[in-house]
Amino acid sequence: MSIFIMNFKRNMKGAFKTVKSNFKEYICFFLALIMVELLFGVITISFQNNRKVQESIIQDAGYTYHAYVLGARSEDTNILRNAYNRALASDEVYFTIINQEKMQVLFKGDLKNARSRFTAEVIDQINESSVRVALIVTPLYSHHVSLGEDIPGFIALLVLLMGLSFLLLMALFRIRINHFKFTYSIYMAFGGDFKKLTQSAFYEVLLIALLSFLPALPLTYLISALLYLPFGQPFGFYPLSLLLMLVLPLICSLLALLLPMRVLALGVPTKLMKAQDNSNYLRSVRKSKIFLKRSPLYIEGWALWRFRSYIALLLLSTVSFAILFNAGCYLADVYAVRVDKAKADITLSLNQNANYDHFAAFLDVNCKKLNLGGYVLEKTAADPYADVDDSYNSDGVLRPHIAIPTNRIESGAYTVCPGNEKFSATDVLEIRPYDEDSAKCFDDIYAYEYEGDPSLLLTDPDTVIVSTSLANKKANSIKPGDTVMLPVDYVRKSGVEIYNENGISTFEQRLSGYVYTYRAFKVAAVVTNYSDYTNMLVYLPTVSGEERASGYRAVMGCEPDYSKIQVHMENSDNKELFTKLVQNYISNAGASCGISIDMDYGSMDEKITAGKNSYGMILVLSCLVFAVSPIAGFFSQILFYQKRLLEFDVLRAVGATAKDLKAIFLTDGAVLAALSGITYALGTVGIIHLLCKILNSPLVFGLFSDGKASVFYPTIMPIPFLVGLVLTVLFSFLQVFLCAWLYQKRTNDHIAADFTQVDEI
Amino acid sequence: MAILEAKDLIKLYVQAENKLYAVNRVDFSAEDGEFIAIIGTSGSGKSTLLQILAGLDRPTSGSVKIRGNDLTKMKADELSRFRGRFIGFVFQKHNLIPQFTALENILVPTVMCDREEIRYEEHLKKLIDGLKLGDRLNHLPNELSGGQQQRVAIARALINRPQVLFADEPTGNLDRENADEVLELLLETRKTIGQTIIMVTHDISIAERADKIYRMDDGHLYLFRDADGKYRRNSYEEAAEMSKVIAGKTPDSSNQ
Repeated sequence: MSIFIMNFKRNMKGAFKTVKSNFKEYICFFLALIMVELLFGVITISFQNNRKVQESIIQDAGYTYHAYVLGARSEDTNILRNAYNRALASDEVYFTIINQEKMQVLFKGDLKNARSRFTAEVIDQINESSVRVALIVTPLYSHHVSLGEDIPGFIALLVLLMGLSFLLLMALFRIRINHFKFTYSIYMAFGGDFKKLTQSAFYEVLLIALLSFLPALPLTYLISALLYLPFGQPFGFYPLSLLLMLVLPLICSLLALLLPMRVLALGVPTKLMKAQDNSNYLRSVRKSKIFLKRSPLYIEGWALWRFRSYIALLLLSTVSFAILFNAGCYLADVYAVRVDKAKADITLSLNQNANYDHFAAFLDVNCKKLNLGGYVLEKTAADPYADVDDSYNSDGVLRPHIAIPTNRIESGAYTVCPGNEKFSATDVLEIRPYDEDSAKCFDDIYAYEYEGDPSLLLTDPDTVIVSTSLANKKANSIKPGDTVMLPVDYVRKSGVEIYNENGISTFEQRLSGYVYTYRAFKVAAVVTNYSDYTNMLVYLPTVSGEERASGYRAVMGCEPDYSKIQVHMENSDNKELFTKLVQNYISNAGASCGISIDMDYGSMDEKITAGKNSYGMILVLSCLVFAVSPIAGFFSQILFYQKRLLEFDVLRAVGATAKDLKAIFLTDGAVLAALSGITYALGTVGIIHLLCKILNSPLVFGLFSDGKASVFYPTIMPIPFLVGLVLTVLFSFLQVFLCAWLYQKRTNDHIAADFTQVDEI
Repeated sequence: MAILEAKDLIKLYVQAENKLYAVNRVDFSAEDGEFIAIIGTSGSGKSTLLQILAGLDRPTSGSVKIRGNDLTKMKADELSRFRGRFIGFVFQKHNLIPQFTALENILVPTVMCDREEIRYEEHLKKLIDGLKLGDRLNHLPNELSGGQQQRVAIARALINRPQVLFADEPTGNLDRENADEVLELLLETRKTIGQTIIMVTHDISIAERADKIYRMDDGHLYLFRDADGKYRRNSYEEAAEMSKVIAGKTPDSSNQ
C-alpha cells in the first residue's frame, strides 16, 4: 500500500509539473472538463431537486397524507381505528392515521400493497351495506409510488451524456496526441509501451479533473439554483451530485484517452517522428508561386486541400456541438408542447351502469346552485370494437373504416377501394363522438389547430371532423367541404375466405370480401396537429336529424358509452367542493350508479411540472453543450498554427510581407468559417429530422402520448438556428484571427531564434 | 555467437507510380560484442536500415532477430518493451524532446523501463562526466549547441546499458577531439558490458576502428572490410549479383 501511495504521489507530482509547464496547452482541457462537470452536475442536481420540489409543492398544498376516505361519516372512524389496532397487534403496521376525523392516512412499506389492504379492510367494510365512501389517493401517494420509476430514464440520460463527453474529450485528446506525436515517438523508441504512454497521461487527466472540479462546483450550484430559486422553488445540497460530477467525467476522460493512445502505441516510431517534422515544412514549393504572385491565396487554398482530413476532423469536433445545441432546443420545444396540455382537476370512471345524462344534468344544476363556476367535461367513449380481433375475422364484427378521396392522399397506408379507385380507405382510426363538451375541449383542452368550422357537427348529422395525419405523419390534404365515406352496413360476399395476415393485408381482404353500404359525410373541419402514433382522428356527430340517425350511431352501431370523464374546472379552488358534490351523487345513487372518482388533483401536476422547470434545464444543458464547441476549435487551431510558426518565419525571411501573411490567415479564416456554416446548417437539418423519427418511434412516443395534440414534425427553430449559425461562423473565423494576432506579436528576435542556436562557449 | 541476424530485408516506398527500394534484400549479422560500421553515400539507405535493425521501423519483408527474438513478428507493445531493455539508439538529428532539460532527456529511457533508480547510480555520473555534460544538465535543447545535443542523445541511448547500440552519425556534429572522446566512451562501454555497436558514419577514421565495415549503395549492403582487415574489391557489383536484381525483375515481396 505504501508503495502505491509513494508511486501515486510521484506520478501526481510529475503530472503537476507537466501541466504547470504546459499550462497554455492544457487550458482547453480544463475548460472542457469544467463544462462536462457542469453538465453532469446540473443534471444530477436537477434530478434530485425535482423530487424535493415535487414534495414541497405537494406538502404546501396540504397533502401530508397518502389517501383519505371521501364521504365518510363520524361512525366510520371506528372501522379505521379497529383496522389500525389489528395491524398494530399483528406487528404489520402498514398505515398511520394522520387525521382520524378526516380519515387521512399515510401508508407504509409497499405503498400499492398497503393501499389494496386498506381498501379491503376499511373501505369495503364501510361499503358493506351500501357504497358510500371511496378511497382517494393524493399527489403524495403518486409521488412516492413513482420515486423509483424515474431512475431508468435518469440513468439513460447519464449514459447519453457520458457518450457526448466521451466524444468531446476524445476529440481533444486526439488533437493533443497529434501535437505531441514526436515526444511519444521518442518514448516508444526507448521502451514506452501503451501502458507506459498512458500512465503519464492518466495522471495528468486525474489532476485536471480534480483541479477543474474546484470552479465547476460553485458554477454548477449557481446555475442549478437559478433554475429554481427565482421561481420560488426550494433548492438543496446533494452530496451524491458532487460524487457523480467528479467521478463520471473522470471515467469519460480516461476512456477517451485510452482509444487514441492505443492507436498511437500501435504506430511505428520513425513514422511518428517524420509526421511531426513534415508539419513544419513549408507548403509544397512546387505549387508555390509566392514569388510571382502578389497574393498567396492560391497557395493557401491548395494548402487547405492538403490538410483536408485535419479540417474535416476539426469541423466534426467543433460544429457537432453547435448542432447538438439545436437538437436540445428542439427537444425543449417538444417537451414544452407536451406539458402544455391542461391537466384535469378530477377524473371519474364510468361503467356500463352509469347514466351519464342523469349525472351531467345533476352536475349542471348543482354547480350553478353552489356557484362552483364553469367546467369542461373531457369525455372518453369506450371503444365498442376494443375486443375485435384485427388479425383475422370471418363472420364477426368489423371495425369501421373511412374512405377518403384518393387524390387527397399524400402518404401513409391507405388502401384503394376495390371497384372505386377514386376513394382509398383505412381502418386505423380513433373515432370520437362530438357534442357540446367535445366542442369546448377542442379549443381549450386539446388546442387543436384546424381549418373549417367544427361546430357544424352540433347541428348536422352528416358532417365529420378528420385529421390530416395517420401514424403521426401528415398523410392527406383533405379540405373542409370534401366528401368522405364511412360504412354503416356490410354483408359478406359468399364463398370468400379471409386469411390471417398482418393488419393491412387483412383489411384489403375485407374491403374486397364484403359489400359495404356507405354514408357520405361532408368534412366540416380538418385538424392539422393531431398526435397519435397509429390512428387517424375522426369525430362523428351525436346529433340526429329528422329520421336520420346521428353519424356516430350510424357508423358505430350504438350511442357513445362514456367510460371516463376528466373534469377541468375554471376555478381549481372549488375542486374540493366539486369532489364532495360528486361523492354525494355516488352515495345517494348507491353502488349501481356506476361512477367512481379516480383522482382529484390533476392540476397539481401542472404546478409540479412548472416547478421542476425541466424546459429551463434542457435549454441550459443545450447552451452548455454549445459552449463546448469553441473549446475544441480554439485548442486545435492554436496548436496547428504553432506548428506553422517556422513556416511563416521562413516566408518572412524570403520576402513575404505582413500583408501576405495576413492574406493567408484571412483565407484560412474565411474558408473555415464558410465550411463551418455549411456543415452546421446541413447537420442541424439532419439531426432534427433524425430526432423527429426517433420521437415517433413506438418506444419513445409512449413517453409523449398524453401530450397536447401536436404532430412531431421536424421543425427548425429559427432563433436557435440563427444564433448557432452566427456564433459558429464567428468562432471559426476568430480561431484563425486569434492565431494571426498571436503571430503579429512575434518580434524579430523570436523569428531570429528559429534560425540560430546558442554557440558553444 | 550472432546477437543480431537480419535476413532478406526489403524496405519499399511507393509514391504514385514510383517505387523506391530504400533497403534491397539485405542480409546482415553481428556477433556479440562486435563493433560494426556502415558507410555509404547520402541517400543510400543506411539510416533506414539502421532503424529497421533497431525495431524502429517495420521492413516491407524480411526478418530481424536479436538474441533469437524476431522483431518483425512482435506486437507493438512487446517491441517497445524489447527496445527499452535491449536496444539503444542515437538518432542522426538527435531528436531530443524540446520541453525537457538535458538531464530529463537522458533519463527518458529509465522512466519508460521503470528503472528510475539509475538516476542515482554511478553509471549516470560516469556518462555525464565522460560526455562533459555536467554544467548543461538543466538546459533545454534549444539552449544547447549541436554538439551538446548530440552528446545528450548519446547519453540517452546508453543510460539503460543496452545490449545493442545503434548509432546514426553520433559524431557528426563534433570536432575531432570530441569525436574521439565519444568514440572512446562507446568502446569502453562496449568493453564493460559487452555491448554490440552498429554505427552509421561518414567518418572513415572512426569506421577504421570498427571490427567490420559494411558499405551501403542504393539499398544494397555488402561487406567492405572484414574482421581480418581485408578490403574487398568490386564489392558493389558482387552485391548486386547476390541480390539478383535484374532489369525488369523485382525482388520477392513475401513476409510483408
